[in-house]
Amino acid sequence: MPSTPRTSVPAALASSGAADGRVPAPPILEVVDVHLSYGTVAALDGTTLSVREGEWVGVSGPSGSGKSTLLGLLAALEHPDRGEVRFRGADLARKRRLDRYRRLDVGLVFQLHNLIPHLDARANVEIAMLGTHLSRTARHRRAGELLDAVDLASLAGRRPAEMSGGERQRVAIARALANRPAVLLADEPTGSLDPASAANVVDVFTRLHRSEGTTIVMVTHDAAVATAADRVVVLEAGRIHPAPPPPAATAPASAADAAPAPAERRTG
Amino acid sequence: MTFAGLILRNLGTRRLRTALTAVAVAISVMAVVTLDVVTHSLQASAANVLLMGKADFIVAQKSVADVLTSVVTEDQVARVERTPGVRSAVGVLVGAINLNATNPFFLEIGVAPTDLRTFGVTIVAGHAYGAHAAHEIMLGWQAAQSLHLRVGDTMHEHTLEGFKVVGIYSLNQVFGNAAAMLPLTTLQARTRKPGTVTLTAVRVDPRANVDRVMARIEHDNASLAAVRLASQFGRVDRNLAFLSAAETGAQIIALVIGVIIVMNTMLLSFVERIREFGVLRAIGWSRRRLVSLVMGETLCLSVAGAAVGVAFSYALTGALEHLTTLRGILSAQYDVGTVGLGLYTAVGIALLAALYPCIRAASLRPGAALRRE
Repeated sequence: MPSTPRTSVPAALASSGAADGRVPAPPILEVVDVHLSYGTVAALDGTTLSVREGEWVGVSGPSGSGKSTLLGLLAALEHPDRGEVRFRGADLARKRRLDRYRRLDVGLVFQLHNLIPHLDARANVEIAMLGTHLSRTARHRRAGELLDAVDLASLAGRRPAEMSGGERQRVAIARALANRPAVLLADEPTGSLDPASAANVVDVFTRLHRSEGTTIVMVTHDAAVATAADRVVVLEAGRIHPAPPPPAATAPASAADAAPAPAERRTG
Repeated sequence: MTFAGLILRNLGTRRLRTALTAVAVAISVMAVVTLDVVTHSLQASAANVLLMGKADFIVAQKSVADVLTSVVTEDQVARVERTPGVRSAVGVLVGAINLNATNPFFLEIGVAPTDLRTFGVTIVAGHAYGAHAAHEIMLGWQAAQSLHLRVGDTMHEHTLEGFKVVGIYSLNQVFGNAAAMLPLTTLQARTRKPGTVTLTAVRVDPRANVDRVMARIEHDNASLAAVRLASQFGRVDRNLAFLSAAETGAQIIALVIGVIIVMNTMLLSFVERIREFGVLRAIGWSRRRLVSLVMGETLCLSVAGAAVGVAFSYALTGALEHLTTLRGILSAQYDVGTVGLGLYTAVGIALLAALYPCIRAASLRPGAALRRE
């Protein structure tokens, strides 16, 4: 499926849905009763989740709860044993060109940046655009723009080993955005960073979400990071569980729009 | 950054491995090219012995190990000459002696003086030897230059000591011009081969069909073979056939070794880079693009290996030419075809060696690759 332009649906509208009487944004990603095991270990056990266009969803939960596996399914890096993962209503299992989906529809940010060590920052961003219709000049220019957007224009010629953890992660975000994906998938992007670097990275995601309405699914077990999301779902033992009560005194609004997900907590 | 640029950067990152793999390819290419060049040079040398003189084809004893051991009786020469369509048949006795350190493979050619013209000999100085002159010799012009001898001089090289140079001649090819000619009967006596020759140089009537005449001669003389193409020389000189077979076998071994070494290196590189490949797949690279990357890197290595391998081969054959046992026999020729052979070999090695790593890369599941530590 070809990439479609990002919608500019405000995050608040997208996440509040029918609660304020407006028509909710359609789901862009859906996980429907998904089961996935590694050998005898069930990583996901009947997981269901829906993400609307323009929404920022945080996925929280303890280690080994299946968060990264869920993200891998959304990125089509893994395939469910049972159940469906849908993008714009189409089952990913029926897609013939999943590499195209990974290249154009979703952008992936890993916990450990996973940059190519011998390439500089610009080349690491450009590498995601190799094989697209963009010319060499256009790829070069876009990489520069993206690095500028994550405040790394001055470090375009540096290799990952010459950058801090936060800078590497911002390069990884720039790479994930290279092909203007509809959804940004991030697997604990601040998990290996110090608080200051983590705050910088979260700030980049926040800017993207607010200014461009980028749909974000972010796995994190950092409560502070999760507060930046529109809502947070909790994954435990491969299932979505009710989220703990929010720290603020505001009443939870999840019941109104949480049809696909058993339970979730609203933030922001 | 371009795709080709990425390939070069990847190779440049692992310089030592890149260099060692290219050297492995180079050694295989060197072995294949050197064997090919040496074999063809030796075959050409052997064929040159057969091609001396003016003839439409030659007739020699069938399936001897070495053409110089071919025995054709003078009766058989006469019978060949009587074959319909044959215009002339010149019996030639050829022997090889170790004349001196610079001429370890010096040919003596015994031809009756009456047949010199028919055989294509042009006397450029002096005169022909007598039919039964025991100590008269003619030198090819190159041999005369090499030995610093002129008409009227007497030879002092031990096996030809006392022979007087009565003439300098020119033949149609290098081997003959670097040799000496003696009366047939004299050489027969020296080599204790009375009444026999090594081969017969046959010329046919202009209107005759050469192939039919050759077939007729073979039909009438079961122990003889008529050949006129280099590819046919194996029929009279089994060494040439063995040489070709040995060359093919050695080339296959060199190729197999090259493929195993390069495949081993590429596989090791693949295993080390599984996570990198997983990342590339995760950010949307297709299987085809990943395979192209692996194949592109291997091809680049191979082209570099081909260039180095041909250069190594050139240096090696240059050294071999100076070996006493090969001097005068080995004359390596390098041309576009030789470079092409090196390139084909290297590309062949690359394609075979990259096949399995490419299959592994194509079947790589990004999720599993990213979970690898």
